[in-house]
Amino acid sequence: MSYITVDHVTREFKSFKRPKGLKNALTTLLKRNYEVKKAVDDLSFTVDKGELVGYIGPNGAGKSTTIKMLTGIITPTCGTIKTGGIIPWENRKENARHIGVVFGQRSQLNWDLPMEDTFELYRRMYRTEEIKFRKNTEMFTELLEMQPFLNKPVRQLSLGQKMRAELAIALLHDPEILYLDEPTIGLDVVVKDKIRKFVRELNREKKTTVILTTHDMADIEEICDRIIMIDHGTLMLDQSVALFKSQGADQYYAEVSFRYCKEPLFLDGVELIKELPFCHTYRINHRLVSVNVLLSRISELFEVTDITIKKPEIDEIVRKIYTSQPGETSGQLLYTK
Amino acid sequence: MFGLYGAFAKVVFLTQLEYRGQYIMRMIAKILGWSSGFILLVILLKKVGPVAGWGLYEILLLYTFDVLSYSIAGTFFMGGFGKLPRLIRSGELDGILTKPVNPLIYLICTKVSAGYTSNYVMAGVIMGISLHKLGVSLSFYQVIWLILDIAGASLIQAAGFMVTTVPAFWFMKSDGLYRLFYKNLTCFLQYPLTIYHGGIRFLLTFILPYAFINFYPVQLFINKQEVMLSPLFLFLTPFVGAFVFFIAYRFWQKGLDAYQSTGS
Repeated sequence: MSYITVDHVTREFKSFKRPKGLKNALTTLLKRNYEVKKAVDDLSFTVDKGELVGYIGPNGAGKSTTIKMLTGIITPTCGTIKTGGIIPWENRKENARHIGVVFGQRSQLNWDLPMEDTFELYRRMYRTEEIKFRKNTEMFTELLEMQPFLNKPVRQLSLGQKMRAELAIALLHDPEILYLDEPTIGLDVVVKDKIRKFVRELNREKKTTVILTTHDMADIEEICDRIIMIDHGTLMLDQSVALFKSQGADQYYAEVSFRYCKEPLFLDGVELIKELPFCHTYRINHRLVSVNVLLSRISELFEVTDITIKKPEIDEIVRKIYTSQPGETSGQLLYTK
Repeated sequence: MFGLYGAFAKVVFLTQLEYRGQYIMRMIAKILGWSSGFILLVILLKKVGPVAGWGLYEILLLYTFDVLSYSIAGTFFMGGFGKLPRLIRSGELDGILTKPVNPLIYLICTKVSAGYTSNYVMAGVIMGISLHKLGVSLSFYQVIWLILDIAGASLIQAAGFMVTTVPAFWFMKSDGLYRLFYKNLTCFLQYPLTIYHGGIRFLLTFILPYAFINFYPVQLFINKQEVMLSPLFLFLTPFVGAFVFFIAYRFWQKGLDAYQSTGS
């Protein structure tokens, strides 16, 4: 039995079309043309308890709209959603007890209060038991290394510290589902890493179901087990991260640094994609060229100083999928599990 | 339950006092703003004499009922509702809707304003002076009524804030409504309703019952019974307050529903 069910959900937005010219602008005071846009269009998927799902898509694909419906902030135009047996927008308060939400772009913290005091207010808001509360604060303080700034007012914290604090308060009441909307936006590598490790650790310890939207594919790679991709409000792809990555596996890159070169490498299935003095990067289709042939040709043509073989990164696969959907028409379903 | 919201309100209120410089500036600005209006009123009345049979201190009493109830309503409602369009646009409202709380109470408590404390003092002092000059000594029951009247008047003012700002849920902006139907119309409250045309009296009694903020309840304390349909009007303020606030609350809920089905 799946924990989150999204069943044929459509969400329309009426947007007002602003015409050009003063005369037309005046007529809109009397009569308006609305344009109905589907932010989410007949979307269905299910998530099991304890899954770590990366929810991705280009800007404006409908990710935030979906999260807003899942958290009960807005209602869908049609279709149903159930999270843990609850319809979120009908039992908004009840639903809120079981979820934790972090919006990377807006803060929920009180600017003037130190974290400790905010923790206490949240304990009372969620009526968290004292023991659970103390255990969680200790655990989060340690895992997120928050000790040094627990008693500083939030306005004095850095962005990274604030984001860790946001995560902690969203989780104090042991929510069953955690929604993370771009949690690593604007953060440095070290903090990103801390947050990713923390989310994984949390999932292992408490079996928290996590739904994460992000544009940073490293988030997906390091946190998630499964990718759901949408574009123009429709489901594009739903598969495991491992399988997703294997899509690009028939290609790899060879970066050859050399002291001397007779002529550039030219073979079927090999393409020169970056040419620098004393360094060439080739894209190799591994079905057409065996590694043996490649290496022997390279050693014939170059006096090699260094060679690096790279697998394509998840970023690149995603870029390929995003850009291969031209125009406003919604793309066809690529893959679902 | 009250404990939680009380804790939020306390924290928000106290942190405003922590910014001492800003707090003092606000107090000075408020005192100057209100007292210039008040002084103008006194000068005018001293020159003109009684207005429709209402003497200086009687009109000042009207004035203090208005200021006091406005300040109480402002303390709790101005922070949240004055900035409602911004809360909607910035997505702060989304944060509230993902918490297991009553959105209205949470909004009120997290936006409590400490900026009205000088008004309480000022209005309280002027009220005391006016009552004293008018030779009114309040009996125990009158004190109770005074408190109930101020509470009711505050609810009317709060309902006025809410009803004129909640349309932001549909239109994204609502400054115009607020200015016209709240700010401008409550200006009539400075003077006794007696001096206005019947249409305005009707409007302020039955359509937007701002007259119950000061004109009707004040008369109980100064032994007047002007332009009221029934002597009962002297005692109606707490009930009118409860009633219009209930309507405003329902309107707010409708607004939230609309937000949930149109929100961006």
